[in-house]
Amino acid sequence: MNKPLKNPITYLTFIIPTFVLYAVFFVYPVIVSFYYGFFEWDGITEKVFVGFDNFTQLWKDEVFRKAIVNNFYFMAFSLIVNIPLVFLISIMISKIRRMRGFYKSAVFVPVVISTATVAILFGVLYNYDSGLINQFIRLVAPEEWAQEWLSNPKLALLSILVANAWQNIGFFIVLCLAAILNIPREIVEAAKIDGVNGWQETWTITLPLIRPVLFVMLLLSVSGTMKVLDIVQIMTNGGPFQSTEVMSTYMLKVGFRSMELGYGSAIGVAMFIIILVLTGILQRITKREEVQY
Amino acid sequence: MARSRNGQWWMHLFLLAYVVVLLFPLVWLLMSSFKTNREITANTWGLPTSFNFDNYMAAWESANIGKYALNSAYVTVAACVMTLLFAAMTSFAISRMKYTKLNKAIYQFILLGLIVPPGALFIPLYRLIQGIELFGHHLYNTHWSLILVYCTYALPITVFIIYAFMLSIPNELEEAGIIDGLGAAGLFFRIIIPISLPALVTVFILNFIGNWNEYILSQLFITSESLKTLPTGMATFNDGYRTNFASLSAAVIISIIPVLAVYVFLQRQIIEGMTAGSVKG
Amino acid sequence: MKKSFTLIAVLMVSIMLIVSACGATNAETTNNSSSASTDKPADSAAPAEEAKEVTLSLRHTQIKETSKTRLKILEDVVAKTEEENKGLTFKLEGIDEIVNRDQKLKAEMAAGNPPDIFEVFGGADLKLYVKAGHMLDLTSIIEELGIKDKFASLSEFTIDGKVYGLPFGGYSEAIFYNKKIFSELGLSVPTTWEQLLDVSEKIKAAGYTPFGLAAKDAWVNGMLWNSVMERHVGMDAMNQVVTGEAKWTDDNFVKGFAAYSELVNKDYFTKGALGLAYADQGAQLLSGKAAMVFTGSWDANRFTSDEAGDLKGQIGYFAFPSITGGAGDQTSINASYSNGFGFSANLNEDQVAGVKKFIANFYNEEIQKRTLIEDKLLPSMKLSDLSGVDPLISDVLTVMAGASTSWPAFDSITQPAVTAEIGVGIQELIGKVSTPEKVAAKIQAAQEKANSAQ
Repeated sequence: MNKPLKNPITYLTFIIPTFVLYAVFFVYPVIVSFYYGFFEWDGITEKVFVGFDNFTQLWKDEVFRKAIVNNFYFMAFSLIVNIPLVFLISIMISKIRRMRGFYKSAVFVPVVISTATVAILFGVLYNYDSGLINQFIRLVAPEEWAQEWLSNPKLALLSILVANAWQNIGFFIVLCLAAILNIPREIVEAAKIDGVNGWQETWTITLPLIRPVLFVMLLLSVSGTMKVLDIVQIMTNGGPFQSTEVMSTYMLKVGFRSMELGYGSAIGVAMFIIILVLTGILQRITKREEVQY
Repeated sequence: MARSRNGQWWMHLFLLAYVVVLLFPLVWLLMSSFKTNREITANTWGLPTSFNFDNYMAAWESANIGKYALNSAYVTVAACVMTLLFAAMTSFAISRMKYTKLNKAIYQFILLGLIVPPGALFIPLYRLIQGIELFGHHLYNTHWSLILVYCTYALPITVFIIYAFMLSIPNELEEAGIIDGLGAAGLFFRIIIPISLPALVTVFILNFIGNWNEYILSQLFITSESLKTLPTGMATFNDGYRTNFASLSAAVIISIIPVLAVYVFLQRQIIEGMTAGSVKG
Repeated sequence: MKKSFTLIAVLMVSIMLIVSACGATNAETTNNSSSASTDKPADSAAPAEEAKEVTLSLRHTQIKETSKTRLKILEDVVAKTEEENKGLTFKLEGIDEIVNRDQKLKAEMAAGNPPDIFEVFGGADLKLYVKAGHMLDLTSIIEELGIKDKFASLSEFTIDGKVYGLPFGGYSEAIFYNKKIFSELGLSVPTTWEQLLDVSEKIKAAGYTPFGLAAKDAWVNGMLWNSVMERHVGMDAMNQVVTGEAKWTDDNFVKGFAAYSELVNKDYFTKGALGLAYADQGAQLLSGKAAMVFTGSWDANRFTSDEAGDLKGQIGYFAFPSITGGAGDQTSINASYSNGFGFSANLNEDQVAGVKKFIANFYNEEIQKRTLIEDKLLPSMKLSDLSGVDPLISDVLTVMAGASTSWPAFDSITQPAVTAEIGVGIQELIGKVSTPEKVAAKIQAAQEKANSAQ
């Protein structure tokens, strides 16, 4: 019925620029790096075709397994801690009348800082000796409570997760807040007339209405945490003794430092498949729920 | 009014506490930018003894920040505008035009971009950029190499967010537009874009930050001194052997200001977009 | 569903087309740059007939604030060479050291078009590039210039008797110490392992950290470990692990790991060291918290700078003590000349002539002396005149002159994968989560795997 919206030429015109860029700068390098995965290659001398050897080796690689587990910690942390916190803070800011602009700007500030800077900042905060966190702990508690935040393998990952959350939550809050504030006032007011108020409103009205944005946040969290690289690389570089290694850092170490580009590419391929499966599952779940409503 | 304000004090308390925790590291960074390196080592958490702008002068002069910032601004803005335009066009096509199955396939295909770890692509990408010629010019060592690549890598998430937003726009608006005699382009620019403004602004900011801070690709693709971008200037003070924290913190503060300015300016747009959006309901 | 499959098929085809198109242009430019040479980005079509107009691209990594002096010296040499040879132009390009070493230079080598002159590390990196045939053989050039015997050591750049690169500086690794703390506690410089432990114990008792350490990056803790290990096993054994004649699990090696562990278990290192970046290590010495740090002579520049505050002039340098009963050379030192310039094998005759002029102007006593005085970089060439040198630097030079032999760091011997495993193993010792025996066994396993792959 809408003719302008069913014209193949218009359709193509709108899609082609994205497609061309995507094909050249993205799909092509991806294919090339998949291809490298089947070779034993130091990046410079002749490649040697080894078939699936890299992948069978990967299957038995303990460090890689550890890295996957760490990626899942990242994901769990962002799903269990970050997203609820984002939701809570967004709701609060949306309910508040005064200073909303201030909060909105303030929560966003960490987002604008580069990851390298964030890593350096937190490195200073976490310092065992002079770091502010330990100084504070020593002030209120016995000396033994002070922790080696980044060098204790039990705490290092957590310390990175906190720094990562500090940097990233702001963007999600802005996203979530925009969706909440975008809910038509009529709906909220109609609900109020029906006697819904306060936190009840949050559960029965806000949450269902911002589901698309929640889905966006979930998907970004899942794919983001699985790909996470720079903050780990700069804060601990996978250490101490590979306890904070994630898939990306391991891939780069193997691929560039150890000059095993083929094996590194195989790790990249494995990551691709793992994230593909996870996001596929995520889409399934959300779709099923959609039907229920 | 007074009653509800009373009910809100604990929310303010919570939010203020959160903001304090959040901003503390930055306040410290700001203080450090006025200290000497010796002061930072010896008196890490104290207030600076005096407000001198030596670090800022040093950052500005020795890191060439003025010129680099201009380059960064050009590359960043060009890439962001391009990303936004292309992503909005594509999102419009696949969210509003009537090719259901094809739409879905294209959407899924673009989503693949969210999945790929960029680190895996450095070498193929580098070799590709070195090989490409556009209109008789090498792409390598030009700002366009960065613009095109930044744009491409921002497309998946941008399409993802804008698409979700456009999907939620009610059909009635478009139909009204069609009755008024608008074509596809008219619908896109006059109706869909204005309504999608909040989403557009959000991703613009996101991409702006990403491009503004990007370091590795910039080092890989740009060789001429006169074309380098801001993170190169920042790296001047942090060489792994020894960090000039005083100058580095000043440089970081300088580099944050434009981004914050963009955010504060655009935030108003988000609010305006918001009111435009609520009219629609 | 069918539709999306067709779409994907169409996509794949179009991608393949683009891929092959790119491949074609890629090959073409590669040829271009290797035949007509140089200056890839702007005007690679520059006519080769004008033999007098020669351009050489020069890649350096001196972009940091701390390397301004070194860059200035390089720029001066370039300007002088350009002035002396009309028509010769150098195009300097500075990029990040790590990006260059790990990504950019590697990608260029893979594509066969490195810059004409570039910074390169001797050892494993160089070996790979020579194997791929991209390094210019400099043997005849340096013989012609008569500087072959002037270098302190060219071993890191020599493969099968041919020289493929020239070091511009060197380093040694030993212990920097805070003289104030030493005199305050009445300590003297230790010359044996027992004395070192004794000194450390006293320093610790006085509330200072005996050894400042920042061990986030494995190479940092690898330095002290390397010297301890050499004292215990000797360089012959070190070289034999890659051939399988010696094993990391041999008695002497395990003793070496155990000795390192002893320092850890007595808490002589900075607490929380595993989370600290290298820059923090020097800061510990300069802030007066740590009495000693084991590191390379490159830090001498920092320790003589204004950052040292009232410790300026109070920092000294001494050789690693000897270990009685060890199989190594007890007065040897880890010293090496591995930072240097390499040259592309793609150069044409005129460019090689230009390179020769550059080498003559850069590798001479005057520039070496200037680098030593201004940049505090140890000269890679033998100098006859050492006047005007900073006291700490002359300490460093004395220590080096007093060493019976010198040897390269372990990572220039072991394969990259083994180096990585050693790094992890030492970190495990520092974190007290493993034992010397277990660490040795794990490294040996990685060693065997790497050896069999050769």
